[in-house]
Amino acid sequence: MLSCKHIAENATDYMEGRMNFFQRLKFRSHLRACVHCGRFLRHIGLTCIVSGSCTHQTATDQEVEAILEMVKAA
Amino acid sequence: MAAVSLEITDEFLKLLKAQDQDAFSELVRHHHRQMIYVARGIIGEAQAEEVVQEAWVSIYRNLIKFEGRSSLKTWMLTIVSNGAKTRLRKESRQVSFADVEASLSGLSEDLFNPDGHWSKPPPEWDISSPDRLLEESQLKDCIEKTTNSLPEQQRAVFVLREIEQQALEDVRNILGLTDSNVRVLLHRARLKLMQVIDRYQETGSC
Ligand SMILES: [Zn+2]
Repeated sequence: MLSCKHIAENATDYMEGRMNFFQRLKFRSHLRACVHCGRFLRHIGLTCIVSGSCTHQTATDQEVEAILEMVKAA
Repeated sequence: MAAVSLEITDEFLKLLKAQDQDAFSELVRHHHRQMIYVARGIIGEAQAEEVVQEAWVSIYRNLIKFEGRSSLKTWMLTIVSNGAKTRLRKESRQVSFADVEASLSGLSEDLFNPDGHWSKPPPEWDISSPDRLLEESQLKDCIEKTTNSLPEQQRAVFVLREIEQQALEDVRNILGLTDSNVRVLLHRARLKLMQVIDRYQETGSC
């Protein structure tokens, strides 16, 4: 059985589909048996959704105007 | 400033190609910051802004030639990244960042016992649905602050993957990093942000 440390360190590879069939199988069987790692994976997933959707930053009016001026002048 | 992302419809693309000023302004408004992050991730803070300015000029001129083989976002990000990489080459300097250690070990030593079991299991979150989490405005501030304070390459990878939703291959190509570097940087950024939410759940602040 994989260690919890291995699960935590390779969570991104798992989420990004960077594992072969057998690696995924081993990963999943640990997740089924281990409530802590299941929670860790769930939290990482939530983190991605939440941090991705609350950090879409828009430029200020001044920044937009400056770029527009420059583009027209070029 | 957080905002919903811009939807690129055919109609909008037509306006852009006709060099409509309002449409172009919207495009700049929604992508300028992200482009700066990408440029910083490649060439560093000092020249990032200049690289992005040049990229906008090039985007404005070449939009008419955009054929839609990739998404507009990917096309624009590639223009910025090419600009940054060209400049880097011209100055024949190496990327000034410490090389990313392509290993995840040591990332979370203190969380685990020597036998690889959790020494301190992840705490259960009281608020655990995405929409409920997103209602917490203080948490959003914390996340934004943390994102802005990530090391430049980590932030660039994070912005491209999590915010711009680029495929890992595109992230790697845009930033000129190896596959394992991208995975390590992304993982580190995710862990750091998860810890922000952990702390918020526990203390109600950053
Ligand atoms: Zn486990």
